[in-house]
Amino acid sequence: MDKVQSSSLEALLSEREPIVNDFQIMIATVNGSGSQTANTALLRSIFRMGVPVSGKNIFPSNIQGLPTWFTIRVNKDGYIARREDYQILVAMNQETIYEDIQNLAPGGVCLFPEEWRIRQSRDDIVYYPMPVQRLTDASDVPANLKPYVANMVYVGVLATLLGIELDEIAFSLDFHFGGKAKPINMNLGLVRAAAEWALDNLAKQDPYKIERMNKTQGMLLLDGNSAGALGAVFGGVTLAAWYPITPSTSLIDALREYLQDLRTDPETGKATYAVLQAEDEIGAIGMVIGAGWAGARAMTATSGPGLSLMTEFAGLAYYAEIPAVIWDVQRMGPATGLPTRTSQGDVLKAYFLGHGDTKHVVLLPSNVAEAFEFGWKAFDLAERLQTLVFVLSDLDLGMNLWMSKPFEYPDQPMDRGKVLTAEDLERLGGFARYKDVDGDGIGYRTLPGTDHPLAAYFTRGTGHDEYARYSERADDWANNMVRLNRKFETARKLVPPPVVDQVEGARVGIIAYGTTDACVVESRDQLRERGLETSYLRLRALPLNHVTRDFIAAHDRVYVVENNTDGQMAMLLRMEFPEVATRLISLAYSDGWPLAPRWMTSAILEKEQEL
Amino acid sequence: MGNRLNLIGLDRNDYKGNKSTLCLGCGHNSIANQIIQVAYELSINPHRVVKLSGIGCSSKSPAYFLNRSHGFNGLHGRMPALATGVTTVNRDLLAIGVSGDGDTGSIGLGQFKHMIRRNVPVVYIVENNGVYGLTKGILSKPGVRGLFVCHNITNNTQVDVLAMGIVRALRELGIDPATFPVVVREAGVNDAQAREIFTAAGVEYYGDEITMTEAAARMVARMREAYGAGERGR
Repeated sequence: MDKVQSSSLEALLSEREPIVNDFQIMIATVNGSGSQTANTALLRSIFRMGVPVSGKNIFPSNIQGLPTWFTIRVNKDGYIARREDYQILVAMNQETIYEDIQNLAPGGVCLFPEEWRIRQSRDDIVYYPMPVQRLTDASDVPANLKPYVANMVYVGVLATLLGIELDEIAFSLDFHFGGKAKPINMNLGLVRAAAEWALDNLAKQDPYKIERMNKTQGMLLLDGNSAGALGAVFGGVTLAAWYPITPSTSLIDALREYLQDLRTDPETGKATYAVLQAEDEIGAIGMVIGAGWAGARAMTATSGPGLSLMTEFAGLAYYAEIPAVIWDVQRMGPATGLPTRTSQGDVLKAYFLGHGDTKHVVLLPSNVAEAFEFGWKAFDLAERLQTLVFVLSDLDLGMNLWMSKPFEYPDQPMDRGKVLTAEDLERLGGFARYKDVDGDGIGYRTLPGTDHPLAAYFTRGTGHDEYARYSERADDWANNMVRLNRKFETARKLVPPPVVDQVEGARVGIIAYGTTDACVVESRDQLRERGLETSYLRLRALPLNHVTRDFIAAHDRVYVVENNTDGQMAMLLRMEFPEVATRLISLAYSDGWPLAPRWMTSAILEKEQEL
Repeated sequence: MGNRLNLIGLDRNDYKGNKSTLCLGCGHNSIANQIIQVAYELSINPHRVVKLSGIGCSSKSPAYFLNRSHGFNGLHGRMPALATGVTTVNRDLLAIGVSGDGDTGSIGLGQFKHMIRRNVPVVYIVENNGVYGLTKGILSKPGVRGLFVCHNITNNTQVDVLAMGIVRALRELGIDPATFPVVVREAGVNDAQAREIFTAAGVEYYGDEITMTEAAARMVARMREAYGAGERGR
């Protein structure tokens, strides 16, 4: 085979020990070429070899033909954040190949189709040409399917090159195709052919290797949208209404599949749930609120632009006190923004969504286990508090595959909140819908259909008194809003508390939330190596409570790390805790990618030096 | 009141709502009363009924019937979505949706159409008064057909009252419709009755036979006759 090696590379490699289970693979392909099968097969195979792995799909908002990148980070220490550099490039997109090669780390590896006569301009990397065309042509795959299996060539070459076990690739393809023999064999045939070719023809000159470990035993691989959907099923969701929007669509797709499996009446064969595709997000949220008012657990899933359309109903639901759940899988905005890139840009909007005085309960899952947990918990909170509950996920969590421990079964029975039955009404002799009987700001409600003459009340967005009667009295209005605030104080105690790692003696604190967690975990270790000990508080919900204020007060400086441009959580913290606001430093950045630890570490060290 | 009990042992009063706050004589009240009467006569269990509405005069009216039924006065033009959600999760409920011409035909036209497409089981009543009553006298889209030149308010259901009101106002103001420009076009219901009243009073009246634009042109012509061309510009 062609040996492509220069003297400077030889010098570089001669001193290198093998690099085992600690590198990143970048796979550059063309959108719509079927690379997802190849990439997830690689990811799953490495995972099944017990090696911690994480994958990120960076794809254009386009149907076909634009550049797509998939990164697979292999890390023996279990770090799963985005790594900015990559050591192995699989260059399957001729349009971006030179830029992709340019960004390859020194000493790195570039695999490319041999039929592209590329300019091998870098002398500090290894070039491996792959016979993509030759092997694909030689395979017995039908001609019309050949373009879609060509990517299996790089799977086979990487298997040989890095030491990924073919049995695991076979298993992963089996999993991917749900046991369908035809596509499995078609793809696997090409993988094996490419692996054999590499074994016979490729002289390995690079140090990268994957070796079996036992760090993923008992774990699963899942995307956050599927985890959230499964959580919703455990939470007893009965109605989901939605309007398609990336990156939330796969949440409802997953939900529909789970519900079909788990909520079809075995006797009648009929669905005991409804998934409604609405005409727009206004219709979707209206259906959800109608269902919540009628006593069902109802949800919708959307992203920023859809959330905007739900604003008026959100204000109504807050004020009329109707339980429902809204998943916002955040993407880049404003407007359509970069619809297939990730961000944490809807924090303030979700918190205040509505008109007049509104505030909402917002849950902030950081990983797939929490996406599952908040999937069911959101319904308990919504019904307990008789209000909307938002779950703020993002594209990174929602659409990428993440390792996770198996999910924990809900540790408490379903909480349906304060609902009066016909018997209750008989005993009580009536009720006042919006009266604060228990001092927690939460009234008692009845459900339509309750067979009692005293059950009915009139729900309205207009001014009302404790008995839900129309009222324009000044005191009725003011008292009702005070009670709603009291209810919000109750929410502060009920929402999942922050996760705090307070390090003795640390003067610097970090606050983060959502998927930024992966970045913070790794950056803290980097900072420790550089001599800076930090404490860490990970927010899991809004409204905030005293735990967070106390954390801020206990540190000289607290960096608020988030994936948006304006530092929205930092703003909210300053607003809620003015007495400690000067200790907060906003570290906000948004460019469509998940935050990277190296960026965070150097940003903090830079700020620390300025002080 | 001495009402007889219906088949489920309820009095007509058991189907009543709050006192209406709509205009005296408003057709919406007639509809509310009709709903009360029908529910009573059909012995419908009010606990099984949900009353849903959007925003507007019409949408306020569910408060004025069936007090023993849950009601939800929602958002402008969005009642169909609420109805879809409610009736999907509880198939035992009987849903009455009350909407108006603006709520259904203007802001809510999209939801209205999609609700029909989905076959949502709801008795959907469009109470068409041709006007946005709550915001005082702005015409709603489906109400254009009831226009009356120079005064842009009318009520299809009560043209007789309106006609008599105008005739009386002209008389009290000492206006002679033979010399003072008055043009009325009312192309809706009760055409014959309106024609009779206006013709007797000497007011120039049109029904369906001319268009709105033609009626407006007639008004301009009458004003030119009365004040001369270009008067307005001086």
